[in-house]
Amino acid sequence: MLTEAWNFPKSFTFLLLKLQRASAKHNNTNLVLYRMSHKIINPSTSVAPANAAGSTGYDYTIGPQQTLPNTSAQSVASTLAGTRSVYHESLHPGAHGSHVSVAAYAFLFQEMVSQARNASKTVSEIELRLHRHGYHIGLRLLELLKFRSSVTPGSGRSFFHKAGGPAAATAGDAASGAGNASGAVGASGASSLGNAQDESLASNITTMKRRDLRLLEVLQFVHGPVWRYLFDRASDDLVKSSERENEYMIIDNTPSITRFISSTNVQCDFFVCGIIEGVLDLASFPCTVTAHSVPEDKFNRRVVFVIRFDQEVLEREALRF
Amino acid sequence: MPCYFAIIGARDNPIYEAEFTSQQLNSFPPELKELNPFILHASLDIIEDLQWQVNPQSINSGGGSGGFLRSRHSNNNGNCYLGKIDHFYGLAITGYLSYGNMKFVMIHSSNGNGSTPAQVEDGSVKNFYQEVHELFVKTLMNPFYKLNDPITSPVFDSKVRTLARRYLLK
Repeated sequence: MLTEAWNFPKSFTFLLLKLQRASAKHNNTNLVLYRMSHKIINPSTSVAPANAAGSTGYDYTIGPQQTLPNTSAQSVASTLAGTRSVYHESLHPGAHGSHVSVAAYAFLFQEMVSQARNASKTVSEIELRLHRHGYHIGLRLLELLKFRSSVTPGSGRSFFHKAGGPAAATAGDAASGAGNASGAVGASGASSLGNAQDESLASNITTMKRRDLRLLEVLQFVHGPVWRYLFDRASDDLVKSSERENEYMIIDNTPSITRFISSTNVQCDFFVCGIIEGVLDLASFPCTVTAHSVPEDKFNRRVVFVIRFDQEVLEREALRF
Repeated sequence: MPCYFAIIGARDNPIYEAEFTSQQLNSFPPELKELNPFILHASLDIIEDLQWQVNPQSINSGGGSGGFLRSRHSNNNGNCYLGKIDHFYGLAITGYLSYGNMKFVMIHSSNGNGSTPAQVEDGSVKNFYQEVHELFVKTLMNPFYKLNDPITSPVFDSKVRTLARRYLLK
């Protein structure tokens, strides 16, 4: 059953997508779609009208847009001079403060819990809401942490040497600093994107870190790097269930985010469950994660995160490895 | 050489598409342009097979019927860049997988009118993919971006095109 699903020709799905694209035009619920709804959908053969304003981004109702031969990096840079976006930030771990104080986090988390509590009728609904918050963090963590760990360690220092000076100098007048920076990009043209502000990490990478293909590899990733990123230490244990084949457990003796929560009837660690599930889901290991409070003599707030993988994960594991 | 690049999401939906052409080199002929998305999607099956190979590059280049499909100099143990995965009448198709299994796929065409098969320079293509991967991770860092939504940002678009100019159109 599994292999059949994999071999399904993608051309058919593409046809369906084309249809969806066409019908998406009538869906006015989305603000972006609403704005585009008066546009005519061109067949992809027709060349998209060249707009003088330069790049306008990908529009899925038009399809791929050609690079115009005359559009130089300069004109693009000048049209986007005023805009500052996520793409101008560095992914380097040192680019932003790497630590958040527990107090600030506790306030935020308290607000999240109370918001979930006000919006829900049952305890399980509160937990589900927290779980959902965490899920979207997990999705992002997988890509971010893996990408960061691909960068060779030595390049971190060079990043600070290169970026430290100008970034510090322009920190005072951020607005004019941004203007100068984009001007510099325009002047140097296509020769380099390398700039103190949009320093790309990818140029320092010789080999990307491997994608995790096996169950144990991906669990080790959650147990180690993810936990270290979130809580500054690896989790206390990673155990395979002896009863069920698809069940694994990550154990945290002293959960940090719920350390100020004394209530036991709502399990606020479901937030972390969501993060774990997000990471595993995106890595194509669909599963359900639940948190259980299992106090031990020394650790009275010990939490066990139970990860139950879907059957297809085990099937794939048996087929491939 | 003209290239057609697309990022395909987890539900096989295109998240981003672009065509890279330059002035001195001719672009895709119109009848082929229409076919590009189909050619690209046909190769997704191969990607999904390679996705779970321990060594996607060496398995295919080592003997076997698929050997000639792959570019010669793929030397490393990373499994993100898949190298040349497919071909279609002189067009070469390369693939790349992000950690969240987003599929980055590109069709390379030869400079001429299809008489000579397209050559893929693994080094620069790999660099291009890695840089786009970084841009994609940055996109994900935007809390308002939902996974598998089309990337409509003009900044993303212009950055990808600058990268293409640097690595692909030489």
